Amino acid sequence: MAAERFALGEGHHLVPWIVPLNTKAVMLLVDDSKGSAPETEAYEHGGSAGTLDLAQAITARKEVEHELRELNRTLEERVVERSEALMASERRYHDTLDKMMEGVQLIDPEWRYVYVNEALVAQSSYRREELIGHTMMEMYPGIEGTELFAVLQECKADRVARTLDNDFVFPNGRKGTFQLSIQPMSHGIFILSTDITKNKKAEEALRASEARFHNALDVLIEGAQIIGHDWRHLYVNNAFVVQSSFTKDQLLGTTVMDRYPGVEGTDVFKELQRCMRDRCTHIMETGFTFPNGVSKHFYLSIQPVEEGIFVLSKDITDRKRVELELAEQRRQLKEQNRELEQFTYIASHDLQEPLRMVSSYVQLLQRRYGDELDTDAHEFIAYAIDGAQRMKQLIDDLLTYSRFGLIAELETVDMNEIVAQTLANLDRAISESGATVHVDVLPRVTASTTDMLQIMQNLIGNALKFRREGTVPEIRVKGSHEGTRWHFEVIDNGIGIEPAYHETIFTPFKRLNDRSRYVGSGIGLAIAQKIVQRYGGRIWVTSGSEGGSNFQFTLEHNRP
Amino acid sequence: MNKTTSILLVGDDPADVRLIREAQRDSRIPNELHGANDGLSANRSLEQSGTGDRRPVSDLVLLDLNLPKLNGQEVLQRIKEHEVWKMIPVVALATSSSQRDVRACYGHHVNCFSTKPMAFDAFLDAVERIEYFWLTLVRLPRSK
Repeated sequence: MAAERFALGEGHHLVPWIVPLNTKAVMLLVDDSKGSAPETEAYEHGGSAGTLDLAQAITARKEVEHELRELNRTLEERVVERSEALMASERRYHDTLDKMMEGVQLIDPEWRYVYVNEALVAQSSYRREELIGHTMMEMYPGIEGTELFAVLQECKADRVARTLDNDFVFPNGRKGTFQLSIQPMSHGIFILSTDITKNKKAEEALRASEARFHNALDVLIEGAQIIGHDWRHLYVNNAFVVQSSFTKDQLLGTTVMDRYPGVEGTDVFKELQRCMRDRCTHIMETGFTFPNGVSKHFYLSIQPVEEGIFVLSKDITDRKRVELELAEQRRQLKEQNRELEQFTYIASHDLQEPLRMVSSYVQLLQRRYGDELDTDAHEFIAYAIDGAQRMKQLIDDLLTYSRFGLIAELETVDMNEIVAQTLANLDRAISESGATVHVDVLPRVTASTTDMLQIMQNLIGNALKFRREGTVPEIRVKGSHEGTRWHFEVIDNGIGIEPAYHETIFTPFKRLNDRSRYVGSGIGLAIAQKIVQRYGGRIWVTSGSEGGSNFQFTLEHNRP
Repeated sequence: MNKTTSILLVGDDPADVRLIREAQRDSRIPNELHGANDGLSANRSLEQSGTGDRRPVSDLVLLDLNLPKLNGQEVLQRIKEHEVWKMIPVVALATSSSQRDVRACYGHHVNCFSTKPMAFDAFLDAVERIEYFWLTLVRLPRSK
């Protein structure tokens, strides 16, 4: 309380004290010259100021002294009360702050830590004692250069509150993200901090995964689009842009109906609608004609997503075209097969019937009129009959040859069984010639049983037929698996084939030997070659080292 | 029982029909051979017969499968679907032994399927055996 000194005669200075007292204010004039005890004239507030007589003054002074004592006592009581309340309140306040989940720090104007709570201690890498009384700059050297510090300064200077998310690097290298609420105070600033490092990480992970997802979608070979509930294109990837022949800008934000007028009537749209409405997934193959007239085939996978529906589209136009072409080829092939079958049937009946007539009537002639004919006539008749017989054989062989052009069912065929069956079929020829046949262990192949029987029968049959006179036939059958093909050999010690004929013997009806000694029309090897070619393989013959022939053929795993 | 056996030979090739007749000339079994040169006339032959007493005129049908107009399979089908005719044994004669024909014929209940042998002797033998089997060895349904 500022005091005015009043001049009160020589050596006296009166200092007026104005003390509020209930409804009245009392002004005490205290004589400063005599030390601390106020020897004061009292004036009633509102009373007339003037000189009081001493008795009056003494009485008044005693009253005042009494009142003052009372006043002092009351004041002291109040101070005690208030202090206690204040302390309790402050304790509560401190307790609350101490136990808060959020970090709390009070920073004084000189950037010193005045108060930190437990949460803040946990957030920072320091103990409470290390922080209190020290400045931020001491604890976090270099903090002055940070964005955070700039914000703190701004709050302090402009007395404004701020909130911010801050990535903070602690001196030990630890990184954390904190949501800060900064409040200016009369002396310094108050900072509330929430550790959101984990949230931040989760959020980042989510964003990263979303970005990855989008990147993956962007570079996907399949078209991808997200269509919103209002049928607008919300997302399209590059592949879809290519598929649609629209630009990204023409698609995004535009509805499906606007982009493809009349789309509502299509099956695709009905499925899209169903998926959008029933939140179900659907997979379909469909043709689609774009507004520019281009028709394409798509494999579509439709699934509901939060935004609407997600449509994955794979352009299968080429595959579809190939499929259609293949189907057409298959149909043509079937047709050809049917024609061939028809031809076979007609040939077997219509070609043979006249032949039978020739042969039969010549024989009837011989039978009825044989007695009247001379030797020449009988010889001519014999040639006529023989010719007809050979013609029949040729027709039969030709039919067999043409039949092996047909598509056969493929299965796993054990060549050991095939050869065993062949040898059983040729049993008579083997026993008559006294031949020995050695068969190695043969592989299994993927082929038609009929084809394999036919080829083995032809090759082993030839080996028996073209045997060298006076030599016991020896035949060896070998087989192996070589990379992508199977390789078989039928080796004999027969009459052999001159190298000049090594190629021509595979043409139909090609015969190298005297008909009177070796029967046959010369179709066997042609059939064998036809079969082998159907399996992408080849057949050839080499001369054996000790005469005889070595017939070899291959079959490819995958038919061309 | 002394009644002459009646055979209906259905075939369009006169040479073939004649060959069968010639083959039968020496046959020990007395029989009457009626010829029908296509499917329709075979049909007519069968229809004209036995309308009164419901007895089929033929005891055996020799059927050449390769016929004009109504082909062999169709003739066979008509016979085997007919209430009375179906009892007549039908022997299908074919030049080829195509499995397609064999299956189709048995599918239509042919009584037997035989190919015509190329060699004349074999053919004579076949005709004789067929007749012996169907007209002598087995019992056929006969009218009173």
